[in-house]
Amino acid sequence: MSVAIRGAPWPFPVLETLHIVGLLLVFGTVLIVDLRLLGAVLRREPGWQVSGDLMRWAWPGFGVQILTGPLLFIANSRKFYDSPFFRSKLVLLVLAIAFHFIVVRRVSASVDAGVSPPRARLAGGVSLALWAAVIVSGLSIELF
Amino acid sequence: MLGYKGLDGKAKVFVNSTTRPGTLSRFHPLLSVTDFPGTPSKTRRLHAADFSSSLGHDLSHYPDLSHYLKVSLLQIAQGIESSHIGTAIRESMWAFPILNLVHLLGLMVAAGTIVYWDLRLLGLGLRRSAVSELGRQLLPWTWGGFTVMFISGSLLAWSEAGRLYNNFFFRVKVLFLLLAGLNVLIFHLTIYRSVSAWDHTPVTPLRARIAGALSLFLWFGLIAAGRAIGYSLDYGV
Repeated sequence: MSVAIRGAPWPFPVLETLHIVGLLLVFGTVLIVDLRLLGAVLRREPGWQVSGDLMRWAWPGFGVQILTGPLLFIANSRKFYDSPFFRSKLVLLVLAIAFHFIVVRRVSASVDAGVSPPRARLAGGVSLALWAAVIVSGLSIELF
Repeated sequence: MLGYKGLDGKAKVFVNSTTRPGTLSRFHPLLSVTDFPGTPSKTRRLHAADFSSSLGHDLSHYPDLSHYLKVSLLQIAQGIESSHIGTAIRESMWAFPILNLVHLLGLMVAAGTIVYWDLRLLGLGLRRSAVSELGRQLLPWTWGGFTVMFISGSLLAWSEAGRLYNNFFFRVKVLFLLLAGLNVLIFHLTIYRSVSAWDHTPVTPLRARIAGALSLFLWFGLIAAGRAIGYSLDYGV
């Protein structure tokens, strides 16, 4: 299977494109939810509503990524395994997902319309930084 | 001496004030490559006298302007690629990948917000938020990301303009970018003007849904074409 993906010119870029499209749904959600917690966008809407509406679309995006990510990995497992960016991406991804479910979800559930309390700002800022680091690491695997 | 027969039938010359007499700069592909037939290239002196002496002469062996325009687009692209900035980006160990990273981060912010804006226009996402409010809140982020993406993308294209000129995927990307811009323009000039009538309805008008679907399709195509450019240049597919 590894050879099948690597052998032809198109499977790898096609899988990469799908991986990026899945990422757009996930990151779009994360970005808008975190900016809401920071009070930068959609302040007039409650945090739980923004988060709830967006998460419905983040899940399918995440599903696409979970399917395409391992396929990309097995196509070039040695290269990925050796890449420091791949390792940092995995660690940061686990941290970002854990932070989302442990902190961001709870905080956004308590944020009402028109407010953005300090703990929401802190949670939004940390979450956004974590996800940005995940993406920079992920892109760096291919770029550097 | 560099000349062509103008549309008025008179002799025209390419005069470039930045080119010193006696030099032919590689930054001016028109001057360096499209030589007037029968003259030696490179070390000709470009004097005003040269131009004036040819004016009014027999034009039968002058090529038409269209001859230069056809070849020169590619040559301009090659000239851009071999310019100082283009070469610096291409040959630097860090500039190209860092610009690429910035380009993709700009894309993430721009397309990440566009996707949810489109889903709202389709009536599929963020249905509890007012359309106009969502636009006011998200579009500044979209434009910020797009600006970053456009500047870094232009610099990347600058460094490989000569090879991109004939690249199929690059042409698709430019075409889709123009179509996406046109889609936004038409949307804002037509159905969005009456947004107050459907601002809060979960089910949006057909024309808004068409705009949203078109935008999603075009951005998917832009990303796929962008990814394919890198591969086609690396592998010559």
